Amino acid sequence: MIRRIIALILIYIAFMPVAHAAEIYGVAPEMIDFYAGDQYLSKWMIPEARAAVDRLAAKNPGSATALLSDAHVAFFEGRYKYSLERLDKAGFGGSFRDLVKTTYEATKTMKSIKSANFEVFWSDPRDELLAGGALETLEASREALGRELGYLPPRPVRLEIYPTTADFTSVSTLTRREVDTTGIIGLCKFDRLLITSPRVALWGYRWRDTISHEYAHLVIYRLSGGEAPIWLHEGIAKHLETAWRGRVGKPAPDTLALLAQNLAKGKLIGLDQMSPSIAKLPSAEDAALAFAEVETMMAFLTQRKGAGALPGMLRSINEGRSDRAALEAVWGQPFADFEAQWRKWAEALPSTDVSVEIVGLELKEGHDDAESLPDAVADPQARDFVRLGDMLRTRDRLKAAGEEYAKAYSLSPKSPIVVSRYALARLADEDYQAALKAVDQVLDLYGDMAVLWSRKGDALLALGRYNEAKAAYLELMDINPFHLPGRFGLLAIAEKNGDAEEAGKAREVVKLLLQDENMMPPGHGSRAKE
Amino acid sequence: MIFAPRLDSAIRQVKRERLARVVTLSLARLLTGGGAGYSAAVYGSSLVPPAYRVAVFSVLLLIGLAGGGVAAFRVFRSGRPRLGDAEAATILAGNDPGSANVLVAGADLSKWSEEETKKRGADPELVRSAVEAADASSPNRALGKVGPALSGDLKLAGLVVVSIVLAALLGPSTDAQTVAQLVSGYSGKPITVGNLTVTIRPPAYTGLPVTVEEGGVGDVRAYPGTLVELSGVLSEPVDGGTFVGPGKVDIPIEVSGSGFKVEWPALKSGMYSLKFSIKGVQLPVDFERRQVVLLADGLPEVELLEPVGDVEAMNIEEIRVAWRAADDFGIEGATLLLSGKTEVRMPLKFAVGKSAAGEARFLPAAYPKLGDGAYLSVEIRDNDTISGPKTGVSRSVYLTFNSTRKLAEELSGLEERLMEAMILLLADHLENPAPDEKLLTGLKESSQNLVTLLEALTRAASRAQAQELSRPEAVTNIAAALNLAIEGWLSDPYARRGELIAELERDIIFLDRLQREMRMEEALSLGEELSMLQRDLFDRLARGEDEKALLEAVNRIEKTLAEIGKKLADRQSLPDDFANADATRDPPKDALSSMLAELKEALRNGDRKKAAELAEQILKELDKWMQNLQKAADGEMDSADSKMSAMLDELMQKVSTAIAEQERIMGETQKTGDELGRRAIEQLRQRMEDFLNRQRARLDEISQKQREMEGFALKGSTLQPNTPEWALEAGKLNAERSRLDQSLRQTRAALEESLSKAAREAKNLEERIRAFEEAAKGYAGEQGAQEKVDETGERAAGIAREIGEEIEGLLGKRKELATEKERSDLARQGSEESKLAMDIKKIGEQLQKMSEESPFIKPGAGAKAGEAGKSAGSAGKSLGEGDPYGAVPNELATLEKLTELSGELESMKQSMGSGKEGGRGRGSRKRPGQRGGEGEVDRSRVDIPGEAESAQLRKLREEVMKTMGEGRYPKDYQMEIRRYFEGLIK
Repeated sequence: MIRRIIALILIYIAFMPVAHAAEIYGVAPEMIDFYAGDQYLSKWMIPEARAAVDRLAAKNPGSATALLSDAHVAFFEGRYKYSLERLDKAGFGGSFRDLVKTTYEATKTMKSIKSANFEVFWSDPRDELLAGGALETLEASREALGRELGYLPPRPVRLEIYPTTADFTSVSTLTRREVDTTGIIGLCKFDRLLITSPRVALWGYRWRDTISHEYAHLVIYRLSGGEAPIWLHEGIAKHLETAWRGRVGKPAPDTLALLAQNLAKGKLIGLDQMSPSIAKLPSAEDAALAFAEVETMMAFLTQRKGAGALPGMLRSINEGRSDRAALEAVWGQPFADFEAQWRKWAEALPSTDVSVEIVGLELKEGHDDAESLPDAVADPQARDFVRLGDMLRTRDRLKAAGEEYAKAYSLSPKSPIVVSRYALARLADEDYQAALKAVDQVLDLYGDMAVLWSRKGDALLALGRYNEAKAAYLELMDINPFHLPGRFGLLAIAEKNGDAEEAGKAREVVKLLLQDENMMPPGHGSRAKE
Repeated sequence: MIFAPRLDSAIRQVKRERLARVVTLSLARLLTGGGAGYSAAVYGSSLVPPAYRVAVFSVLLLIGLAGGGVAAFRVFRSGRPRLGDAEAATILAGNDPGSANVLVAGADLSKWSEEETKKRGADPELVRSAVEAADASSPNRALGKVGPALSGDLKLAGLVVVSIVLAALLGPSTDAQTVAQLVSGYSGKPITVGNLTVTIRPPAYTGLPVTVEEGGVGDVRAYPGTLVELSGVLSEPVDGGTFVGPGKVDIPIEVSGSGFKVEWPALKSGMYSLKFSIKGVQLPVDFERRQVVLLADGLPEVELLEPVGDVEAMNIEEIRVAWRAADDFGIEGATLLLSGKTEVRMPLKFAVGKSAAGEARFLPAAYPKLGDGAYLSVEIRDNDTISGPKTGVSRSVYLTFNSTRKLAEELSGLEERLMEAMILLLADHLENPAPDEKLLTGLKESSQNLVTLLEALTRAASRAQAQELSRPEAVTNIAAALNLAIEGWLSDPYARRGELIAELERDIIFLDRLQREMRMEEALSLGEELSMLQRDLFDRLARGEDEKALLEAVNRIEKTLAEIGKKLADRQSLPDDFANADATRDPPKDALSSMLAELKEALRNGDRKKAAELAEQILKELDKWMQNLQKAADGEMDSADSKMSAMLDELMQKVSTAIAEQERIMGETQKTGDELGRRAIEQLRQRMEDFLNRQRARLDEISQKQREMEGFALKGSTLQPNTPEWALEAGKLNAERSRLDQSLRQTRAALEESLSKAAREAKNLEERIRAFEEAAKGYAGEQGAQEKVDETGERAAGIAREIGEEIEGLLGKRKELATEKERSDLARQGSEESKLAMDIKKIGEQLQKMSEESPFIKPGAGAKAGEAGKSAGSAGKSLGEGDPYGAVPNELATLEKLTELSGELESMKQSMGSGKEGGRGRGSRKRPGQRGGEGEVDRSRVDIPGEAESAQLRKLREEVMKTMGEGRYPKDYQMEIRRYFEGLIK
């Protein structure tokens, strides 16, 4: 029966004017638009779905099916209030209504800003700080992905910035555990992009790469008709997430190191294990490994088969091929061959022999200390020294803490958490050169860790190397634009450079951020939550 | 007719008065006659035999009545009670004839009518005036005598009445019966009661049947509330009767002819009597008063079978109560009574009957208002519905409720304080690598404070250990290690600063881990409590407890649920794996809260069925959650401990191997030593006589030198006799002389017994000679004398040394007797022993390292292995020198230390797993009171060689050392050793 209905709908889509009023296989004519609308929605063909639903509503105004379809399409259109009203009018309850209601509640106070192709929404006034950058990033990403994948969305895309993890979780349909475990903070779902504000993370995250990554998902979804498997989705999105800043197919050093380590150990996450979502993998380490695998696969594929391989594969899938078949079509050999070649290639990639420590996303919420938890430090002895140092530091015994951090540093000079603590102690001890040296040794590998950029900026500022300090702080802002000490640093540098305009702007941002004490910098004199 | 009101009234008054007087007088006469007759009859009849009594009574009474009647008649007749108007007017006028005429005429004329007046032809006016005149002159009352005098007759009648009263009250009692006889035909004989039947109808609560007693005397024995029916036959018919029961309760008797019946409830003990009457006249009854005895309804008796005595239990451990009770008739109610801070009464279930037994369980945690303890007893009520139920109470026992949570919190609090103090001390040390004196004093004070805290923590840990709460050995080990480090630092603050810092660092990390685990423990304890509370609620629902109590129980569950939720939410304070477990991150709080709310609603609505269903659902949900939490905790503990545990296992295996190896080497050493010893003794025997003679001569010479020394001392003494100085020095000399004499004797004796002993005695002899020499010099005083004593003493000591050296030389020659093969064997054994020593040393080093990594490994755990390695090294050296006799004591010492080490390792292993049972994680602690689904687990500890065993081995070793040194072995020592170690290793 289901097959018949699908066949019917396909026929309907293909010969819409002809089959318009046909009664075929027992499906009432007025239901055709209902099923068709649903099908369009599943492929994120929103205007088409809207047209079908409008037809349905014209024929059966006020019918339950018309109201329900209308509500569904409105939800995808971002008209949450209207969607909820339709559902209530039809008397529908259940999980969909709950989702619509939750989404409406979470977004009803949102403000927005538009560019030519995107609209960014936010509710917390401080998140306005992100809006401009977000539009800039998305437009750049649109252009880059248009080049790489040959697709430009015909209508504006929504980006919603949620102020808390709870809000994000409630509209994402993910569980809190999934969010906590894998540190997922961005999502492309229901034909829109959703992120949690980097404000909620202890040290922020590469939020511009994240929105670009989510935008890539949207493009992939539409290109593949929603049929691309997760590994491919994540592989291409990861491969292209930095395309907006001109960097494509160059996996980060930590990605390469992590992959190398696991290849050596023979531990890989199977492609099938990545479904239904990498977010559902049991740990942040597994998720990072999965991303490393698929990202390098895409890099390998484009390196060997050219940039057209990726859109070609997506279109094949949209035409009904399986992911393996689509890959084989562009690769020209069986999938196993691709896998073997990739492995060989990956093993030969230059990578550091340092053990990569995966520091998952840490949320401020429920975090007593302003520093990352030391759990990720691989060396148990160093970890213990960090713990000891933290105990001393949180009791304002920074000098003693410095002694412990130094012991940890002597054991694990490449651990980002150890280095960040050690640098903190050295900064407090006014030994800026030592702090800078320690940080520089790990920044190549852990360039996404805001704390390291913060330490570097602080050290350079103290050394009077303003331009370098500014560069470090700007990197920091790309990860955590709400980082107050960094903002202070930028303000100080603007003042030192005599750049009144820059200083004025920086002062405004500082004022905005000072509205929330929780924005105070971790480990910079004003301790959070005290 | 002419109306003359005044006259007319006066005349009527006179007439009435006359009638009254005559009638009164007549009656008085009749009464006087009758009364006299009655009195005469009463007294007269009493004087005659009963057979004539009625006749006499009747005659006398009739005579009296007849006399009285005649006298009355005569008075009546003569008294002319009815007067005419004229007579009345005359009496009215009195002695005045004129007035009399007027009044008589007026009275007559006033009756004339007008017609009659006309008929008689009288002048109406005259008539009228005559009447009016008469009326006007009429007096208000009679002026003359109206009738016969009354006073005398009335007085007489009064006397007669008094006599009647006296006769009735004080006269013979026969009158009533006589009257009764007269009126009813009563025989006059006392009524006798016969054929008595007593029917006893016991009250329902007794459950006793109805009993009928016929032909008895009428005494009644019954339980309170019994309905008693008494019936019988009387000697003659009566027409009424009264039962007079205990407490003067009158109950009418039902009479039918000569039969009677009365029914009354037996409520009081006492006497009862029966009264009978005819026509209201009470008759004499020949029936003695009878007894009513109320039987006592005894108190119900109840025996508390369990708990047998005072109990100390965890508050989440169900207390089992068993009882049995008996009553005369029946038990209606049983209550479990708990008296703590407040009183709690719980209805108990049982089968109603004369005897009953039952058991119940309750969870102390469900009744927090009881406080930390309560008296427990069982109260039984009987089924007496008449005088009210009587209660019996069992003996009471005292229950002490311990709370794991409370203990855990106390321990945790102390740990936190200790941790804080340790962190601050560490900070002080780290920040002040070269403290000045002042700072050093402060640091020392902080260290002392830390030691005080450590002591408190150790005490709390011991208490926790008694409750199988946690792994307090870890705390004790931390305390011991830190104490040692502090002691070391205090002894040399500058040099040993590093050691203390390292120890503090290590212990802070240990304690941090323990605290996290402790918080996990607390959460698990709460979880257990929650499960138990829910189980208890389920049971109480089944018992049918009232709504209020059940709602209170649900509230408590909700409170505990909130508490556990709070603890689990603080994930940073929990061990990582446990904190990240699903059961911890996503507790089914909402589902449980909603079910609990529904349960409350069902209880409020009285829907017990739904409430029970919900309670069961909640229980299942809770159990599932608890199992997952438990699993997470087990996983946490396993991952944390497994590495250390595996290392301990490996070490224990190594120690066992070392013990076996040492035994093997020692067996071979002993075999070689045996052969050598045998040959040495043979050779020695041949040269023994010369040797002994030589030594005896030397001993004689020493005796001689002793006497010489004493002589020099006495001669050269500068002491004044009988002074305190003299007494002191003389005393010393005497004492040393006797000690030297004794030593000489012992050396002689030892030469006969054993060369080794002789060698020891020879050494001792030299010391005694020196002591005597000192005493003699002290006594001498003079320098010359002292010099002579010195010289002589030196010579004597030299002789003693010669004795010792010769003996040692002889002993040493045993080694030289070894053959080439024996030398080679001993060398091999020495090499093996040295290798063993190295292995043991490595065990010690590994243990030392482990003790730095885990609080469960005792500080200085490697020391025992070090000692064992050292003695094995010495044994190896002796063997290398071809000396089996020097090797064996060291080999035994090695065995002893290894055995002790093995025990210590076992103990550490157990301490790591304390709280673990059946090989599971610590979180799988005994869940007190849990029923069903839990197999029996052997909770006995593995026996560890204790002090007694070690002492036994030590004694054996000492004995072996002693005898081996003497060139022989204790009897069957090898077998003894083998048996000992086999037992120990098993």
